[in-house]
Amino acid sequence: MSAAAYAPAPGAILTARDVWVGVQVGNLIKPIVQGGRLTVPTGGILGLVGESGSGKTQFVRMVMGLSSLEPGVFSGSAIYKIGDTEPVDVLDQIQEFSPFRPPGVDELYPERQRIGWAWPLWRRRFRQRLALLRRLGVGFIFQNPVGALNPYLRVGSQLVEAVRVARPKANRAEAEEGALHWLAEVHLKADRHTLGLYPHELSGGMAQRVMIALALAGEPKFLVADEPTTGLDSHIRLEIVGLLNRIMGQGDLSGIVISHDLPMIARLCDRLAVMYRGRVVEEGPIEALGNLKSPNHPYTRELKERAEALAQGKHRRSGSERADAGGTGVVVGRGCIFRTRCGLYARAKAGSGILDTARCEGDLPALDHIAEGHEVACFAGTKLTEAATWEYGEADHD
Amino acid sequence: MKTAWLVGQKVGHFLAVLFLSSLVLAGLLWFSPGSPGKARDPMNFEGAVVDTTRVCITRTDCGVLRSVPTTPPKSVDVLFGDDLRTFPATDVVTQGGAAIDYDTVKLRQDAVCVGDECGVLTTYPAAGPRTVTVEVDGVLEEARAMDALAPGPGFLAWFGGVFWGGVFTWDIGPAYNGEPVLGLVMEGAKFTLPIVFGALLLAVVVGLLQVAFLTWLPFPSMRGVLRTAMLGLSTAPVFIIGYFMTKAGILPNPDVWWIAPLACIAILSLGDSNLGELLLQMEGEVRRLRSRDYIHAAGLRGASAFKHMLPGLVLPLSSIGAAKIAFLLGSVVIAEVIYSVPGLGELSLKAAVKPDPLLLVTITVFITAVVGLVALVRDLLEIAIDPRVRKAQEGG
Amino acid sequence: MSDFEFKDPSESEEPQGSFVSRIGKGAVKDLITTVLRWRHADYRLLIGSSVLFVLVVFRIAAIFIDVDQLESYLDSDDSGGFRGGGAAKHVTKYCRAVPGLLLGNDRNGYSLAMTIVEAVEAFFEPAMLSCAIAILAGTLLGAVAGYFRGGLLESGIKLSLTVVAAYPRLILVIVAMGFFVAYMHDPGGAIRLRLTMMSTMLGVAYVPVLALAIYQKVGQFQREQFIEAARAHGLSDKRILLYHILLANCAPVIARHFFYLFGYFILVETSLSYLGPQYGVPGSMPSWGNLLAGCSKGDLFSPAVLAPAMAAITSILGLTFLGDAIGERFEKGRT
Repeated sequence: MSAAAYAPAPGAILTARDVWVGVQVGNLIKPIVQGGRLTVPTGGILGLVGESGSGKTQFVRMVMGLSSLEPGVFSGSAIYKIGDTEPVDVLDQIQEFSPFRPPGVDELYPERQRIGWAWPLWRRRFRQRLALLRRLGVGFIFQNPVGALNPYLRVGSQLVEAVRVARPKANRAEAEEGALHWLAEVHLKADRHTLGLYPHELSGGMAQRVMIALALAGEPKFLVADEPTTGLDSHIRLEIVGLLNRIMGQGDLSGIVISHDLPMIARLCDRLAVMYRGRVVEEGPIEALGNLKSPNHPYTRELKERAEALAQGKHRRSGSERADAGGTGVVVGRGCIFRTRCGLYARAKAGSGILDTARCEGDLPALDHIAEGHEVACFAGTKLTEAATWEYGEADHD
Repeated sequence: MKTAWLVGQKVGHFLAVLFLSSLVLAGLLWFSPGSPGKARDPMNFEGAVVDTTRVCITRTDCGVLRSVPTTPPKSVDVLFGDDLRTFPATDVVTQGGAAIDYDTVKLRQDAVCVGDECGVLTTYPAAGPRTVTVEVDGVLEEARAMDALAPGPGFLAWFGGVFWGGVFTWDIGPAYNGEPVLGLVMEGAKFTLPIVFGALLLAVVVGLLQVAFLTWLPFPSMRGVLRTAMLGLSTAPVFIIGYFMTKAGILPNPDVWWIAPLACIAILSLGDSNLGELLLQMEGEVRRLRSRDYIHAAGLRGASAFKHMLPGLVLPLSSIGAAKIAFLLGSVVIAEVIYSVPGLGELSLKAAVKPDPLLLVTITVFITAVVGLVALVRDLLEIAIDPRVRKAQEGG
Repeated sequence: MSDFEFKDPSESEEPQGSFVSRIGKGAVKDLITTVLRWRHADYRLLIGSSVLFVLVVFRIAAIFIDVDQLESYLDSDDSGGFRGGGAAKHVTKYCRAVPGLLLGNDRNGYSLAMTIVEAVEAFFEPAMLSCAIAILAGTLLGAVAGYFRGGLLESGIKLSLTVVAAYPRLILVIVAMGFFVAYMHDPGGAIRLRLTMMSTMLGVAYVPVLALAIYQKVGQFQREQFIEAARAHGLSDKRILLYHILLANCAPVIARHFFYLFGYFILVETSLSYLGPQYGVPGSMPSWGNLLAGCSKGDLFSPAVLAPAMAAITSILGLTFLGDAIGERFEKGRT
């Protein structure tokens, strides 16, 4: 593959293309993410939405170099272009370090050029890769706050460590001052007592804030928040969202927010990417979410419906949801994988739809341009607008 | 301070288990033929009180004293025809009824009388043995005072005073060869403890090296094979490894005193699945730790992953080590006999076949104490390193 | 989780070229994998089961073999089997490879192969006894402690098990041996009793391990919903415990520890017999440890040395593997 195919998108701080993540189970490789693509504009926030098991966390972790899959297999490219530095393909670096190719790889994956094994933490090459990311200035807010804090060390020492990432020359006093500053930034009590706490002494909300502080203390230019509000009480959730909004709204911070909470994504983000079962099915500006009638992938539509129903207090369970509960990993097979849950497909099968069901059964839809900067992986394509009004016209009769 | 309370709790647990385990063994000892509860020393009747003091007439039959030993009256034997009878000397008189002058009386000649009967004297007056009466199990028994034995200590008195008291006064009792038991145990411990801890250390070091090697190995599928191979190799019983090493020429050499213990360390750490199991457990711990988010986070921050992993590793490793010590102390018996190291293992085997139950019990209690101490150290380490343990106590 | 191969979905059919090359490259490997694939723990289960099978076969064969009464090869005529004719003239007696005898002969001049088979007698029943005691006592104590939590019963059981677990297992066996010798007037005459008592002690020493495993398992299942449902239906505690928890769910744990203990027993028995007849089995009874000790003057790698050593190692390893495999395959909620 020529270098041009993997050039960074203009004005994007992170361009991920063709990212494929798999884990080896026995003799087989089980794919988790396939054909992942992301574009994070400089200064903008991308929201990555999907239900649990869609692979969004693994995707972003792989792109950040934090994959904990062992043994993991991956390929693709993730190009960071931060400021005026040369664009760096993080996944590319790995190719050079892996001397071993999984057997049979060339026949099965003729388009994949780079396959490597996810290396465990203390291998020098892995550390070099992380050092690269650090130089670029990236931060990660992990999903489980208590798990991401070292339970044996006090909050203070971990914060001081993080501060030293951005300011390696700071002495102890300066680093502590920095730590206190970041505590204040996340609305925690910035005093020595807080610094002296152990992670298990923090409440859920406090721990989440500490983690945000830890990520910010490195003064990153690129920040990833992985499910920042999952598992928190609703009032804390509101506070955290407000905090993130304030932090990420500051001019030059770009980032990704991963969540299955659509309203939060709508509030925080500039761009949207939707993942279903390891594949990105929609990518576009946040305005594309619009209202219930906007043209979106059927899965995005379903997510919007659910969010709306929750917001209004209705509990509507569509039959298709029950039919396909909780699958993980990429589904391999012919045709569009969403068709078991797709309302459009069901209607077309019943004879009154806009889709050509044969296509849905035969081919996997690729991301298709339906509007400026908005791509959807559905064979309905531009007809999605029709589908919207038509479907909701019926729904109003309920 | 809450930490002090936690520490006290752990120490108390250690002491309680030690106490109970030694109690059980001492109880076993008490009912065995070599029991130190048996009467042993001759009884001293000075200060003995009738109906109160306990006396033993044999090693096992003991009862309440019913009469103090008194000097029995002198008695003489008188022959009445064919009938020989004994009478107190004062009852025997001459034919005329006067007292007999024993300086001049002739045996078997002069006639003497007791009451109405008369016969001849056959013995001069002699004091009989002092006797005592003891009520044993409701039956009044008579026994010679010089045969009487002082009752052995009661169980609790012995257990508390002699056994555990002996630990502090350095005198528990004699072993089969007459030497003090505690002295023998300490002599043996001088060999066994370094061997056991040395074997543990060696196994941990080799295990860590192997874990590092397996992690580095760029061929993930080979890891399982190597792991299993290591486990298989290490399953060989200690005696087989020792046998082959002896055959191969690593013999206990009297000139080089450290070869035999070193060889013991080597075969102990390798054999009886020690190394294999240690490797598996350590690898599991390291793998579990590696996937923790905080290690990743630290790596992203550029912090030394090692510094962050260390506290998380020390605790599981020390738990594994504490469990292994018990196992090693068992296997060391075999290793010591193979290499003729005069340690506790060999001593316990000797004590088992002699048999010398007291020595055996003392060795066992000592070993149990060592195992318990190691577990205690591990618990204290946990209190020191893991703040969650301290918090759990504070939270109540 | 289903097994499936990664295929690029845009390729609807596999190109002929790659299919043919895969046949060429991996046919045999695929076949083996397919055969073994249904067993999650493949080779460990295989090795373990074969070792167990061989041990059982040997034990049954040992009923019919009585080495002491077998004619020494020196006396026999030329006839088939292991006692080859013509060998009588050429060979010296002890621990040597002998033409005609499968593995040579042992310290007494008998066929080593037969002796190895008969040596299984030395540990088979005692190991069964140990395991039976450990399982009965351990399951009872562990289940009771795990089910009736929070009372004096649980604390009492836990404390007594902690005390038993405080002694190293081999030391307990030695203590038992010591007290046995102390009590018996004629320890030499009551050899069977000594061995029985030692296997009892080993079983007792293993009780805390098994009890802990059962305790954890029972605790795990007690929290499950179906226990609540069973109680609501009015099943007695005893029935719930016995059938729903133990039989249904703890059987793999028990089986796993059964094999671990069996392997450990072989280890202990061979080690003690190696040390001498007053520690292990009597001198007239063959045991793998015995055989190794008896031939210590011979060559290093003669079959008389290698055969008992390999037999011991293989049995212990195989049984441990079997235990591991059973645990991995059948235990729910175990990684």
